[in-house]
Amino acid sequence: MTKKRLTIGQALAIIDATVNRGASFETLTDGAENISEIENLLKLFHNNSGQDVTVQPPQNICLSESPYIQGNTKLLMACFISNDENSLSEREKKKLTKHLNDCYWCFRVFSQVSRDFHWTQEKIASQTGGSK
Amino acid sequence: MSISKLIKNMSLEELLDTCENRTSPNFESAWTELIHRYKKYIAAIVNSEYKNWTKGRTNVDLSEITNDIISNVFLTLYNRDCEVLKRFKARNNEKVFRGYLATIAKWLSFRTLQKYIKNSIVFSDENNEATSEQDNTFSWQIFDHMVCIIRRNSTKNQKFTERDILIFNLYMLEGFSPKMIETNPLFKDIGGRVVDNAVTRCKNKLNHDDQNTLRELLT
Repeated sequence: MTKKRLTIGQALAIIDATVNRGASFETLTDGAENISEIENLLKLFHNNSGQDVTVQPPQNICLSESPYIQGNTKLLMACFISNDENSLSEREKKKLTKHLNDCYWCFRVFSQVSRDFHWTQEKIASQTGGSK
Repeated sequence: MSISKLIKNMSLEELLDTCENRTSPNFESAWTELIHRYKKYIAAIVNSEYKNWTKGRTNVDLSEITNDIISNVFLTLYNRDCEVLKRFKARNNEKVFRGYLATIAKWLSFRTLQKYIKNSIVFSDENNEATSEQDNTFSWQIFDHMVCIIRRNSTKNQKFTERDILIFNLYMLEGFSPKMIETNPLFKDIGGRVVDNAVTRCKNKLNHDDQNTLRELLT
């Protein structure tokens, strides 16, 4: 069986299910090609827990080949995986929202990550029989 | 001049008028010409959306669905006494008409593919968070233009303008369902009707400032 590579949106949904909903990390990442990358993301999440994440996008729009939020895992984790200690403050959320309206390229990345995150959450919920 | 030659030489405005007039003797030929002129263009958009949505996400071959979507674009224009076609106001502007068709095609693609892919999603074979190869030039111009108009028509005190714009863009340009938006962590704790209200508010602001016939692109 060929191994599949998880996207960042899918990986974030798995980490969210593991951290916030008690799902089994091993089961969810079974068959993933980039399992070590996801383990690193999980470690990064725990290491950064409680630390503030600030949104500092470029003044104007990003270059199409390097959008600010692409690969900005710390920011994406703070945005998508929230718990009491680790989430974007309202002020930072507003800054991010403003940038996503200013910059089409970041908007596209954000929508792709959101889409993968949402569908993977639904898939996990249907597999585990729990609600999201 | 033969009828077929006459119809082939029709301007966009004449062709649309004939397509909307069921009593015209050239009604059917006009529709054949309309389909002939724009089918390839619509197919390119639908196929591009199809690739964008299915790449690495599903093992199921959904390519037959693209033919249905292309037909549905023309059905959308034709149904209910050509209501959608009649709503197009920039009658002789080929560029805007193509934008109008592109928006309908993208919208139908989103709605149709979303339904199928949701049930057949698999983990991705490759990283595809990057922007797709589809026609981004057209999309980012519409994106910028819309954001600019909505901001311009918002009063300074409106607390949720930026949030509303983002919701609107996800809904209109990316085909997100209200549920997908409501459950997005960035919009945590928004109420059930917020998406509807935000979309309506932004649509009204766009309609208010319609000098560039943007409404046609967003119907």
